[in-house]
Formats: sequence, C-alpha cells, structure tokens
Amino acid sequence: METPLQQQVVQISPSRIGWLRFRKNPMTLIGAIVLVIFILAAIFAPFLTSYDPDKVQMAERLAGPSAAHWFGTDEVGRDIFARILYGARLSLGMGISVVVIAGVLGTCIGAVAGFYGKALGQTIMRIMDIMLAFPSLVLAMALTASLGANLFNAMLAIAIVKIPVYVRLARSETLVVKEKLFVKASISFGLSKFWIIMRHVIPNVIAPIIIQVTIDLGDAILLIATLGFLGLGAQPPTPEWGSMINTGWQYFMDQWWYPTFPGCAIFLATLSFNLLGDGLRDMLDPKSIR
Amino acid sequence: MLLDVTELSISFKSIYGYAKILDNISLNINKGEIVGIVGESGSGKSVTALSILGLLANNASVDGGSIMYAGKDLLTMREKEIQNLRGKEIGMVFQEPMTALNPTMKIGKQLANVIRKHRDVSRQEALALAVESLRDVQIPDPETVANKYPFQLSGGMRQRVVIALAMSAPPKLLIADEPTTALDVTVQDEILKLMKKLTVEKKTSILFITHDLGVVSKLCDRVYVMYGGKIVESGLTKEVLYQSKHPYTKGLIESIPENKAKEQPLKVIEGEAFNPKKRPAGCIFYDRCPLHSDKCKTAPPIAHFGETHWTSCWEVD
Repeated sequence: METPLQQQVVQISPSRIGWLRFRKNPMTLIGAIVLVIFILAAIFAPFLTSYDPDKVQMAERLAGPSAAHWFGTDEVGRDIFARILYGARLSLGMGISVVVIAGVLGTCIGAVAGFYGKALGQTIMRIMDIMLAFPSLVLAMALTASLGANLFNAMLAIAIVKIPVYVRLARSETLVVKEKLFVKASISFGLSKFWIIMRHVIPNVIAPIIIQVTIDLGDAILLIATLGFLGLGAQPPTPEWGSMINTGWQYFMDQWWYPTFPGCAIFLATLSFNLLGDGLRDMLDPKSIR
Repeated sequence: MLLDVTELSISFKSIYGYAKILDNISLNINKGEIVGIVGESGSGKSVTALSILGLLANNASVDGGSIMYAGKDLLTMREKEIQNLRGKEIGMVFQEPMTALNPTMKIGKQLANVIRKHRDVSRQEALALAVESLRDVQIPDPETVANKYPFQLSGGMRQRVVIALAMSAPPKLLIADEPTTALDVTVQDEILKLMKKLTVEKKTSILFITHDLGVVSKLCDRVYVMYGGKIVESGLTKEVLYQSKHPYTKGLIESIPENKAKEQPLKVIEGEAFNPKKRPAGCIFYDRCPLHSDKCKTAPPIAHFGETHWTSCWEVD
C-alpha cells in the first residue's frame, strides 16, 4: 500500500474562520437568532398582530393572556403583544440610532484626539474623563431633565453619555495606527491630515469600535427603557417598553402580565445584544484565536 | 542646484539626555542627478532624509544649518507650506514596502487619492491615471492589481506601488530611504532599473539612501559616505569607490564579500558600531580607525582631491 506523502493543506479564508468560531459558540448563535426574531417582529409588526397598539377598548381592560390577547391587555384595553411589537421598532430603532450617533462622533473625536496628541488631544481626553466620572444613568437623567422629557431628548442624552467610551477606544487605537509607516508615507505623499484621519486612520481602528457598538446596543436599549420607566423618555401613550413598565408596575400584584411581558422583551433584547457582542469580539479579535 | 543642505545639525532628546545625530552635514543635489548616501545603521542617513521632508519625530531638534530647496529654507517653512511641497515637489519611498500601504484600501484607490491631490482630475480620470501609473512601474496586469488590497501583493510589487505613489506628481526630487533593503536580490535589481528609468523619463533627481555599495555603484552619479552623523568622504561614485581616501570608506569596500577569495577571512571594520552617546571629540572614526594617532584627537581638516572628491581625515596622502 502506498501512503500519500504529502498531507493536503486546506486553505481556509479569514471570513470562514470567523464563521467557524461564531458557530462554535452556541450562546452567540442564540443571541443572533433572538435578535433576528426581534428585528423581524419590529419590521413585520402589522402582519403579526391585527390589533392597533393605540386602540383603546375599555370593555377588555386588564384581561389576562388568552387566545385573543396573547400577552393580555393594559388598563385601557390595549393589546400588550401588539404594543410590544410596535415598541420593538422604537427600542431597536432608537438603540441603533443612539449607538450609531455615539459611535460615529466618538470615533471621529477619538481619532482626532489620538492624532493630534498634544494640547488638543489632552483637552478632549480630560473633558471625556469628566463625562466618565458620572454614572451613565445619572448623567443621562440630568441631561434629559434639563433638555425636556421626551423621546428625542432621551436619545440625544444617551448618545452623549455613550460618546466617551468610543473616544477612548478610538484614541488608543489611533495612537497605535498613527505610528504605522503608511501614515507617515501618506504625509510624505502630501495628503492632508484631515484626509489621513478620515481615510487612513479610521478604517484601521474600526474593528474594536464595531464590537463596542454591538455590546453598547443592549446597554442603550436598557437605558432608553430606564429613562422611559422614570418618566423621562417616551411619554404615554407611546408604546415604549420602559414606559409600559412604568404604568404597569402598579398592577403587578393582580395583573402580573402587564409589566412582565415588556420586562421580558427588554431582558431578551439586551441579553441577545450582549451575547452577540461577546461572540463578535471573539470572532474579530485576532488575538483570541483558539 | 535643486537641494542644498548646509551645516545641518540635529539632535534627539530622550529620557537619557541629548544625543547628537547629525553634526554639520552639508550636501547638495543637482537637477537630474542621482546622489547616494552610504553608511552603516545609526549613521544618520534616515534622519537626513526625514529632516528634508519635515517628518522628524517630535523629540528631534534642529540645532543649526539650513535646507534650501528652490531658494527657500525648508527648516523655517510653515507646516502648511511644507505640506504643499510633499509629494508634489519632493517624494519619498520608504524602506519597508510591507507597511507603507494602507491595508484597508485598494491599491487603485490609494493611488487615485494621491493623484487627485496633485492634479485637477475627476475621480474617474484619477482611477484611470492610477492604472496608468501602475503600468509605468511595470506591474503586469495593472487593471487587476488596482482592484487588489496590499496584502494580496508580494513585497516587490508593493514597493513598485509605493514608487508609483511617490512618483505620481511627479516630484522634482525623490528621496529613497533604503527602498531595496527589504527585497531579495533579483527583485532589488528590477526596482533599481525601474527607478533609474523613471528618473530619466520624468527628469526627477534622486537622493538614494543605502548601506549597499553595490547598489551605489549601479545607480548613483555621486555619493556621500556618512559615519556617526558626519560626512567623511564625498565625490563622484567612481572616485569614492575606486580611489577611496577615508579609512572608513576603504574598510567598507574591503568588507564586501563579492569577488574575494573564499579561503581568506573577510576583512571587517574592528570595534563597535557608532554610539552617539560616546561621540569622540576629534575625528568621529577615532575608536575604530586602524590609522589613528594623537593628532586625530582634534577635528580633521578637509582634504580635496580634484574638483569633486574630498574627505575629512588627517591620514591622507
């Protein structure tokens, strides 16, 4: 019998390695699946329920979960399942916008701070330190309270609160990238500093930012719900998960379903984003190859 | 005269104190000339190159001298003015082609960006010009290469791309900082031929920095030999290589392994590499020079041999 001397070397592309690592971690997969379900539910809300989330039906107020109302109804007879579906649009949409605003602004500011190390960089970083000194919820509450309690201001406040994390992350990565030869080479080709930051620095610092974005999404949704619960975010009758709990918690002893289902929605959405974020970190971080 | 560096001194400040890296360097480059700077590691070759483009690190300080380019002193220029010269008037090719390109941008796009910076063309035209410039540096199948990322190219290919980037204006002066050091010998040769061809075509002068005397003999019209931040000998390439006067230049030539009998041990320059913290008061080569005597403890005079050739040494005859 002849035995083949050469072992076959199979080339695996980096994206395939990423997928294999992604698949190996079941929690990430669960996170991703739950998330897809939420996103689909948000997009196809009108097809998944025949109820209008804002329609008052006093005859059916505070009805328990049944075949007609899967998650029961609230104090004015609105279908909670429908409200959670439409609420998913708000929570996910706002969560994503918050993180995108904070991510884009934070990355740009951080890249500038890292690139111009001296006075400008130090000034930016000390301002960020001041912002980080406050607990994020307290700062978000203070900002919404002073801007005026509504959904848009809540979104703005959370975005501002989230910026320092991205600034610090982008700055530390920029400090590494700016020492690379291609940045010096770009300067020697006569490209402007602004151009170099936008086209040569930021694309090379983006990987950890993406990971931070997925992790922060869950946190942002939680913060939005918290502000809603405290009456600082979405105002009734907007179907927002936090404000639903805000009105629902007083009914908890007798009508448990009213605050429980929105709470579960917040819990599941936040958890799935965190699981996905962890998985993405393992996937995109070349240092954690196992 | 295109570039005229006079009595340039540069020192670096670190936590260990000051270190003088360039000590009264004077050199010049004429239009269309290829001028070499040879020397070992730490002799100040790269610092000279970087100082011309104003790319020195923050802890470097210029202690004196001037760098005149087209009648203006680059050292007193504002950052904005130097910025306008970079790439357009003075280009640079770096030592490591592996890291001189942005890994996240396609080759064609990187080239097009630089081309648009220097010429008034649309995005589409710039991309077409990028492909053209890849053809100019003899990259086979430039249309495909323009669509690739740097990691998909070999070292030699990348260095061609870097040359294309540096030549995209094209500049009047190209500073090449050991552009072939990281490449293997056959590729080196091709890159050298390419650079020579481009400079003839585009009438660009080159300041070629290397530690390889073989490369100097193939490419350069004139050469400066540097040691310890000083120029020790200068002249036309054939004068410096075949009628070397300075003991350091002689030592360098004797330590080339090519065309030497295998049986005999190769000659080396004795002693340690130059240490800027232990800069001798007199001749910079004092510690390692086989001919050193007491008079070498004072700075040596400049000895001229004909119009172009000179060296700074006591022991010349």
